[in-house]
Order: sequence, then C-alpha cells, then structure tokens
Amino acid sequence: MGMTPTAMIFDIQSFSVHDGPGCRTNVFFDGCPLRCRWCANPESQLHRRQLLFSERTCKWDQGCRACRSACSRGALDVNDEHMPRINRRICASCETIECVKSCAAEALREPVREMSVDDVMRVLTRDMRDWGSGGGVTFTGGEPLMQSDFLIEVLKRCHEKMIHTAIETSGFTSTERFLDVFSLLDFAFVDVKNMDEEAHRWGTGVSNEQVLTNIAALAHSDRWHGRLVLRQPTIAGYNDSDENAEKLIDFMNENDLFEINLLKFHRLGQTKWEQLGLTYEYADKGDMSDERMSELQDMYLDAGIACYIGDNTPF
Amino acid sequence: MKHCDCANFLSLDCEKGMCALDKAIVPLDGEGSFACPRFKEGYLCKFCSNFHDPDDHGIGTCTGFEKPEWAYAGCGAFTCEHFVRASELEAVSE
Amino acid sequence: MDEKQARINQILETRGKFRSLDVQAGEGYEDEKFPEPSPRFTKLMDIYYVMKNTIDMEYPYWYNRVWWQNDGDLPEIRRAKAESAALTHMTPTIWPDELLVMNKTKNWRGAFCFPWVDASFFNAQAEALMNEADAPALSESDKMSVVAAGGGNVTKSYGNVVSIAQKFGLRKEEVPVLVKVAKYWDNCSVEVKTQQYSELLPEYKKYKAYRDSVLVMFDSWAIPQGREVMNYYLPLEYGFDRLSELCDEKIDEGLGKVEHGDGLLGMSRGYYYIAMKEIIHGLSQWAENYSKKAAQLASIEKDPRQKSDYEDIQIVMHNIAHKQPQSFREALQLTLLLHFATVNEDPQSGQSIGRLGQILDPFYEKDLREGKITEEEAIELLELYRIKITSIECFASSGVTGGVLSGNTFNNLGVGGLNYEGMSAVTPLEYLIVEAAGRAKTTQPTISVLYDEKLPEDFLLKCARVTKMGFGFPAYMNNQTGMNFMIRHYGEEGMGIEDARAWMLGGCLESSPGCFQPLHYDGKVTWIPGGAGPTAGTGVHFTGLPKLLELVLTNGVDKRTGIKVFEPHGHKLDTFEDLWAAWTEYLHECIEVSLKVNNIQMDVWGKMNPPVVTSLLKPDCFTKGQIETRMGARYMGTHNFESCGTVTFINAMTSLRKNVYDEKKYTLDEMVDAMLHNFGFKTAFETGVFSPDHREATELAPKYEKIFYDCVNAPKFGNADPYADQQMVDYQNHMTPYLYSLQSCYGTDYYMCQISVSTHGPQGAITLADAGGRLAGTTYSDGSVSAAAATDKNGIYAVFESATCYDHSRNQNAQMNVKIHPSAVKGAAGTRKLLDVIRAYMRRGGFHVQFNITSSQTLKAAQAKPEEYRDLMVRVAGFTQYWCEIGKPIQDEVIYRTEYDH
Repeated sequence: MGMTPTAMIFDIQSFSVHDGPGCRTNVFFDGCPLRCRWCANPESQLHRRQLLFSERTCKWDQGCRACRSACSRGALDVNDEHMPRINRRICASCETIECVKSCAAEALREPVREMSVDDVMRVLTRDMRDWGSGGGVTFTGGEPLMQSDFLIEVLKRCHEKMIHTAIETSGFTSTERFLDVFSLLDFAFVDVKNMDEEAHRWGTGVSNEQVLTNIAALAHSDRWHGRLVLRQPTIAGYNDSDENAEKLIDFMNENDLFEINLLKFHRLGQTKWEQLGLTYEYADKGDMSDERMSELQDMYLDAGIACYIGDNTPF
Repeated sequence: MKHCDCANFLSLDCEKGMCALDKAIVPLDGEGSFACPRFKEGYLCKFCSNFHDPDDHGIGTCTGFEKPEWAYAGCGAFTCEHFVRASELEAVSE
Repeated sequence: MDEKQARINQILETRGKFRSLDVQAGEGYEDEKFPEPSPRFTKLMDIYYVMKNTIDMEYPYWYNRVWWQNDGDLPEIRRAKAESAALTHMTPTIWPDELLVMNKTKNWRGAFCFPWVDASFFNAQAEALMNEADAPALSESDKMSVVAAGGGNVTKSYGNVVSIAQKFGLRKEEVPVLVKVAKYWDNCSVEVKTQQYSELLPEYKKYKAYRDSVLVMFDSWAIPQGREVMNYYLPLEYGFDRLSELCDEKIDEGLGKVEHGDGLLGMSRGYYYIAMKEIIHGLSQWAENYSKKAAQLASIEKDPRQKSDYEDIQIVMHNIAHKQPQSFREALQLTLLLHFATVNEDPQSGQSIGRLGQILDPFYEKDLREGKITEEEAIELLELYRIKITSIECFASSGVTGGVLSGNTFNNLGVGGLNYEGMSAVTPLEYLIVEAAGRAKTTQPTISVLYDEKLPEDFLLKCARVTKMGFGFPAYMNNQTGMNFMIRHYGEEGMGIEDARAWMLGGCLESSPGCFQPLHYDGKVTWIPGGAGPTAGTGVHFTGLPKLLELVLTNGVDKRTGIKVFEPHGHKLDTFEDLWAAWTEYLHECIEVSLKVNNIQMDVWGKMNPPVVTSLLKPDCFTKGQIETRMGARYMGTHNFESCGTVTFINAMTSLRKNVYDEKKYTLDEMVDAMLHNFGFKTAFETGVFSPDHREATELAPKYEKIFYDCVNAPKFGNADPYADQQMVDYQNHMTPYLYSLQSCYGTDYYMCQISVSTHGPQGAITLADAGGRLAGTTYSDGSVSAAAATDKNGIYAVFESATCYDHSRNQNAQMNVKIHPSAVKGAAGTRKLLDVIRAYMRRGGFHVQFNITSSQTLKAAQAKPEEYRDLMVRVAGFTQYWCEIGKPIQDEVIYRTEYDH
C-alpha cells in the first residue's frame, strides 16, 4: 500500500444526522486556515495540540487536587479556592500534556489524535453497516481541505468500498486541489460566509475571492457529479442583510446553483472558547430571530432557490 | 349516612368515590363526605339482615350461608347471593 | 406540508435531479402529528391522574373464607373454589364514559394482599397496624395528601388512610380485617412453608448469607407468576358455557381412569377438570356481575347517551359470560377479563398481553367489513384499553415492590413478528394499536415490536414515530434472534419452527415460548399466537456480579456487614486466570445453593397454591388435563439465572486484567486497598448523593489519585475495544454450557436471563468501589449490554459493536438502552434515521433495543414542577413509568445519564 499519510483528527462522531443525507459518521479534521470570530470548534483552528479545561466538569469543588503537581513546566497552578489555572503561554509549546493524564474527571482534555488512513477506514468500515442505505461519512472540522493529501487517500478508499462521502468545508484552498478532492465526493456543503470581500476578511481573516472562484469552477466542472448545497451561518449584524442575500442569490443563479442551507447562529461553541482560555467575541451578539430567518428564506425561494433553515432539510 | 354508604356511590380509591347520579367526585372523609337527600341505602354487609353483632371494629357474624362465618361491616354485598336488606325486612315486619 | 416546503419541493422538482432520491413522494419534512385522543379517554385520564393506589379486603376476605370452608379438599379444587368466590363477591364498579369495564378490584388502581402467599409482612406489624387503625384521624391539615409528590403512591399514612409498603392506601376500618385474615396464614403461607423446607438444606446458612449481604435479592414465591405471556385462546374459541360442558365431558370420560400407564399424572386429570369447572363458573359469574351493575346504573341514569352506554355494557358483559365473543368489542372485553383474572391469582408483575393485534384481528376485520365498527371507533376502544392496563397495580411484599416493580406492572403487548406460515404477522388491527399508543399517553401496555426484515416499512415507520414521542416504547426485539433462542432452548421439549414463530416477551424482556392455535371465527380458521409456558422470570435471580467480585477480593467476607458470605477461596490470585477461577467457583456455589432454594420455592408454591386460571388458559393444560405446575404447559423449561450489573463487572475485571496482571502497574493488594477506601472519596451514603458523577474527596484522596485515574481510564465495554469486549465473550462462553448443566424444579435446563430490571440501584448501593472506577454505593450499569453510564466515548455504533460481540440468541435477552436527544430525530427524515438506528442494531443480531428520547432540560423542569408534567413518561430499566411516580434517586440517575449523552 506504500506510505500513507496521517492526519490530526479531533473527533469522530457516529450517528450524526445533520451533516448530509441519512445517518452518518462525522470525521473532524484539526486545523483551519480561517479565523471566524463566531467559530463553534475553536480548538480546531490551530493545527496543533491544545489543552481544553472545563471548569464545569472539574471536581475542584469536591476536593480533587489530582492535577496540582502534574505539570513540570509550571503551567498549572491553583487559585485561592484550589481551582486549576492554566498559564497558556507556557502551555502552548507542550507536547507531553501530563496534566491530562492526571485528570480522571476529564476536565483537562486534549482531543486531537494522529490517525492513519487505516485507522479512519477501520472506524468507517465498522460503522458502514449501521448507517442504513441513505447514510455515509462526512468530513468536517476544522477544515478537511487543510489535510487534503490524507483526505484524498481516504476518499479513494471510501470510493472502493462504495461509501457515500460528504464534506463540510470553507472551500478555502487552491482551485486545483479543490476540484481534485471534489471529484471524489458525493455531497458537499460549502460555506459562503459573506459576499462582501471586506466583511469576509473581517469575519474570517481571509478573502472570499478564492472561495467564490472555487464554487464557480466546481459548478462548471465536468469532474463534479455530486450534490452541492451552499451553507451560511447566519449571524445578525454580519451577514443577515437583504443586500448580502441578493448578492448571493445572483451568484447562485449565475452558476446554476439552487440549494442553500441557512444555519441560525448558535452559541454551542462558547464553552470551548472558555476552555481554551480565550474570550468569545460573540458571547452576547449575533442572535437571529425566527422571523428574520423566515424572511431571508422567502427571498431565496422567490428567486427559485431551495432554501432550508437549520436542520429542517429534506435529507 | 355518608356517600360511601349510598347505592349510587361508585368506588374510586381509599379517599374518594363518585356519585353515579351527578358524576361528582366525593370524599370518603371530612367535609363533603355526608350523603345528600337523594341517599339510597347501598349494598354492604352492614345493611344485611344476615349480618349480626359487629364489634368495635365492625367485625360481626354472617349467617347467610350454610356455615356462619365472621364478616365485616364495610364489605360490599352487591353480588352476594344471600344479601337481604335489613331495612326492608323491618319494613315488612312492621 | 406547509407552504414553504411545497415551494421547496417545486424548485427541486424543476431544477434538480435529487428529489426522488431524498424525499418520499408527498412527504413533508415534519412528521404528521398524532391526533388528540378521544374525549372519553381524556375524561377518564383526568380521573386516573388523581387516583391513589388502594388495597381493599373484599378479595382476600372471600378467598380466605371459602378456602377454609373447604379445608381438606384437593388443593387445585380448593384453590378454584376460593378464587372463584373471591372474584364473584367483589363489588363491580363501572364509571361513566367507560366502554370497556372491569378492574382488579372495586377501585380504579386497586390491588389486594395475598396473605396465603406472604403473611409475615402483616403479622409482623399487626400491632402497629391496629394502633394506627384505632388512633384518631390526624389533624385536618394532614388529611390532604400531596398529589404531585408521588403520583398515585400513598407514601405515608394520613387521615383515615393507612399507607402499606409506602405505595398503597388502605382504609383504616379495613385494617382489622387485614390483620384477622393474615393471622390464618401465620404458619401456612407459601413463604413460611418454603422457608421451613429450605432451612433443611445443609447449605441454608450460605443462602442466608447471600441474602443478608444482598448478593442475591429475590424470592420466587413472592411473585410466582408473571414474566410470561397470556393465552386467551380457549374462551375466545369456545365461550365459557361450552368450556364448562367440555369439562363435564372430560370428567365423564376420564375421572378415575389412568391411561398409558401414567398413574402419577393420570389420576389427577379428573380433578383438574373439576377444578376448571369451578373457575370457569367463577369467571362467567364475574362477567355477569358487571352486566348486573350496568343494568342498575342504566336504571338510574338520566342522560340518554350514558344510559345507552350502560345498556351496551350490560349486553356485552352478559354475552361474554356465556358465549364465544361475536364482535371486536366483546373479544377485547373478554381478553381484559381473562387478564384481570390472571393477575388476581397471585402476586405478579409482567403478565404479557401477547400479540393482541393478531389474536383479535379476525373479530375486528369482520366488524369492519360488516360496517359494525369504524377505524376511529376501534382506536377509541384501544385507547380506553390502555387506561385499563395502565391501572393494573400489584401488591407484593415491599422488597419486591420497591426493587422489581418500581410502580409499573409491565404488561407487555407485542406487535409484528411472523405468523404461522412464516410471513409478516402484522395485521390491520396492529396499525390501530400503535396509533392508539401515539394518541393516548399512558405508560401501559408497553409495546414491543418483534422486528423482522419481513415487516412492512410503513408499519415500522409508524412504530418509530411513536418511539420518537419519548414514552420509551415501542421497544424493538429481534424476531430472528428470538426464534433462534427458542429453538436452541426449547428444541429439547419438541419446539419446531412454527411454535418458535409464536414467541413473545413475557414481562419486560423475558423471551417466552408460545404456540399457534386455530381460532374458528367468521367462517374461517385463523392461527393465533399465545403464550405456552409458565413464568420465565424466576430462578436464581438478581445476582450482583460486581458484588461477587468484591467478595473474591475480600476472600469471602462482606466488608459492609461483616458477614462471612463464602469460605476463604484459597486462591493466590497471582494470575488473571486464577482470579477468574476464584470468581467462577464462588459464582457456581452461589448459583447451585440458590437453585435448590428456588426449586423448593417454586415447587412448594405449585403444590400449595396451584394456579388455576393459568392452568385453564395455558396450552396444553386443558388438552392434557394437567395443572400448569404439574407439567401441564407445552414448554416448561422457563427457569433461568439472572445477573445484575454485568457490564460493571466486565469493566472491573478488565481493569484488573490491565492494571494488575497485564501491565502490572499496581499489585492486587494496592487495588483492593484503593477499593476499600473508595479511592479516597466519601461514599454515597456519607454524602447522600448517589449520582455516579459526584466525587467528594477526603484527606486520603491524594494517595489514590493515580490508581483512580488508571481505573477510570482502563478499557471499558461499549467502545468497540476488543480488550474489554473479550471479557464479555469469555463470560458468555463460560455461562452458556455451565447453566445448561443445572436443572429447574421441572427437570428442565437452566439458561441465562440478561437483564437487570431495577435492582441495579439497590445492589449498587451495597457494593464497594470497584476496579472499573465505579464508587461505593453508586448504581450498577443499567442494561445488560449497554455501556455503563459515561464510559462510552466512541459513539453509538461502537456501543453496538461491543454489545454484539457474542451471539445474543444464546440467552433469553440482552438489554440495550439508547438515549437520543429529540433534535436528532426531528421531522420525517428523523423518523427514517431512527429506524436506521434500530435496523442497524437488529442487523447486527442485537436482541433488544429501547430508547429514551427526552432532553435533560425537560426532565429537570419536570423534577422542579411535577404538577405540570403529570403525563411525562420515561423508560426505566425494561419498562415505562410516569416521571413523577419514580423515586428521586432514580430520577437523578436518569437525568445524569441523559445529560451525559449530550
């Protein structure tokens, strides 16, 4: 089989039901080139080991002191109430994470695992018979395209085994790479976060130009035979304007795309920001009303585009 | 007399029953447990002429069957083959 | 389908090529809602919700009176006379708006005690009870009980109501009657006699130690029936009058006559039919009494609609008192009568209704065809049927009530499976049964789908839609696995493929043998399924496997009580194999001693209190002329071994293997020291918090931090990790042949029952911390093949992989509990995904899967404001219960488990 690459994977979830048709297994790739201010999986942004600390799970209040001397670098300390405190600057370069190995409560976690193609395929072939006829695997993250060599290997193997494959991606990679990967996929969600270049750069740290180019190229490519659904995390004050929707509608019509899934902004990732010792900018803004979501949906429907809200999808 | 002694009383549980006439839930104890003017004597051992000499706990003797046997006042007698209403006997004998 | 979905579908139709792939024609994204239940149902349930569990003395009084009047008669005839008198002297109660009538007693949620089974419970507290009866009523403010706190449970005495076993209310004026009746049985109850003969066993002291240490917590005599499947065939085929004539014919033909040289059983046939004639008369008269009551109510009723209801009831009850039923309603009412008669015969739980929609379908289809009933009318009857079954309460001695019943008597109704010809058995009536369950929110009957690949897809989807509502049912049983188990186990008694197809669960999960019988109705013959064996829920039960391991590590001494449960085992335990050998030696001793006691218990019960209603109904008692317990039933090999906390045990063994024997990180002494010190945490008894997640450190905690971490992180069952799963395989490989070497009192082979009803709480409570990282006093794992709470890290498919690491058809059952957040199965697509999950597990050969689809937020809200969630139901162990009727510790546990699963 030759040398197969490995990848940094931070979770594999079975019975995932909102990321493609049927029952699926989701493979979460670590690392992302974007820096979305509202990100729900911030631990995956940096492509390296990161310590998560959950204050809620920690048993300091029940008298646990198990981690107090676990860290030889002095990155772990306790405050006056014996609650652990982490010095992230010291911690950032750690590869050995002894502290995690001291915590039976799993309040200190380091979720990223290095996996081979075989490792991933072992899980997928195990789960394969459990999906039912409509399901398959969804590669998400983080950004799966960041580890595209690995991804392509896995996709080829999935293809051999007749596994239905889907991706959830920001679309941020070179057009050539993008088409290489997509030619092996059956189903794709590609995010379009904002049609305005400046706003995209502000929200995600990168321009939208590459993303839009890739989508357009895909729409016109004879290498793509799958189903493409655009996705937009819809965030009040950022991309919920009529203007943004109009531009996206135009873009979709130009490229003969007709399905979009608007995801109402949620704050499920907030605790992870806190567990990483970071401040969550979207702690108290960005909320969308159901009415506004419905209005936006109508705009798309009026333009002949099938627009789904949240998990209310036909798949 | 109480609701639970009435022929129109339907058992529900250890604290209440129902009046078959107006379908109201009535308590077995305390306020509201006393019968109304529509009261009609029910089917209980204590209303049977074959039931004799109850003690303080309502346990007396049943002579309705071949062999006399102890019985208790509050026992239902709707289906008893030897239930003879004492008050009707009295009415006849008077 | 709403307007937006219609537009989306239109767009996909014109622009895309995907619609046919993903969206079923005409299907909305939202599930169709189940319609509201009928007004009759709602009115009656409003009353049900305020009903108290009540015991009264009418049945025991009459049973006792007639039993002693017949002193000296043959036991089966004496029993039949006593039961008959008791049934026919109870006050028949009919409430307005009912169509189906009858109850266990005169009360709605009525029950009664069985002093002839167990009198010590009452005699021990006779004086205290009398004092309560004689005391003046409590102050006015104490008179009102709090409804929301315990639902219908009477947890303490108030006013003129005395609480019995913290569950039932008894009128004070009936206490002297109870005390008086109980005295008769002081020296001759089944309990006393089984005790007397068990004590003659040389090993009795050992058995007592098992019980006192709570290693084993079960007495067969306390619930000698139930966990079996009803059979309504004979009365449905013949009617009571004809059955009585048949008895006469059999008596004429067979009394005093022995055939085929069988003197032992041959002679008893004549007495059998005499007893059957008595009980048939009683059952018929019981029905007639309700007819008479309906007539009385009709005579005083002013409302014409209600009057006509009473008149209909009068006719129905009169008809079924004598003849074969002639309509769906009569047939349904007759099965209800038989069900109540059976559950009144002995203290019991888990009396399964069986595959009712297959049994009654000929009656329904005839009525429908002839325009005598509409679908909606049939659904209404089935909704009302649900109330009747939900109202069945059981009084057993308090240990059993608390531990086994948790308030639900789990009368299980089966749908699906295969028919006599081996085709899908699903009938039109079964669709309505499922529909009624979706509309009428009651805990019972719980519904079990006998899942087979041959079942219609729309039927399975309909079942999945009800499962999604979060009641905890339908649950799904693997029909092929069940049939395989049947043939494997009952083949010796002659079971073939047809009878194997008639299987069904007795009680929550006890796969029970059945058979098909030919019903002549509507000008044709229909082969209807029904139960064909005695209780499959008895034997050596509730054996705490983790406790047994603890005793191996403490060399036989129970540290909690100081009791020497076993002799020192003499093993060095220096290898894993040696540990396993020591554990199996203790296990064998425990099982073999308990088996003798159980055999005595079941045999004494059967001889003293021969079951007569059951012996009328169960094939082939009537054909053979034999009482069930005298080998009357077609299949007798139902007794088994039931473990508790299997996965907790597997995890503990796996950790020992890894940490002590394979990796040698700790010595066994270090491990035992950590367990004895609860890894440096306070015990649940010290903190009062029983949640497995609560760990309050003591000053010893630092000493055990590392070992605790390694125990918690040792491989756990439920993660598709072969290291842990192999332990389960080894356990199974050991048990299957071993149990086949043991014999029940009927001379049949033992086998394994893999469930842990609800003793995982009480048995967890008396068990020290274990090497798997479970702390002292906290609950064992709840299902037999589910992962222990919070230990499955690799998702549900990995749980399935572990669970099916051995062939489930070796055992009577395998319980898998799955929690799913409601959002994961939302909408029509969600229903399909739920069915995908069910099917995934079934395809792996998983025997049984049930779902809790309720969010932890809902449960917490219900805990805070029970009065607003009176109809919220959750799945606990193998059955469904109203949330507010389960105790707080179990509530906490369910919330914890639900929360963990995101």
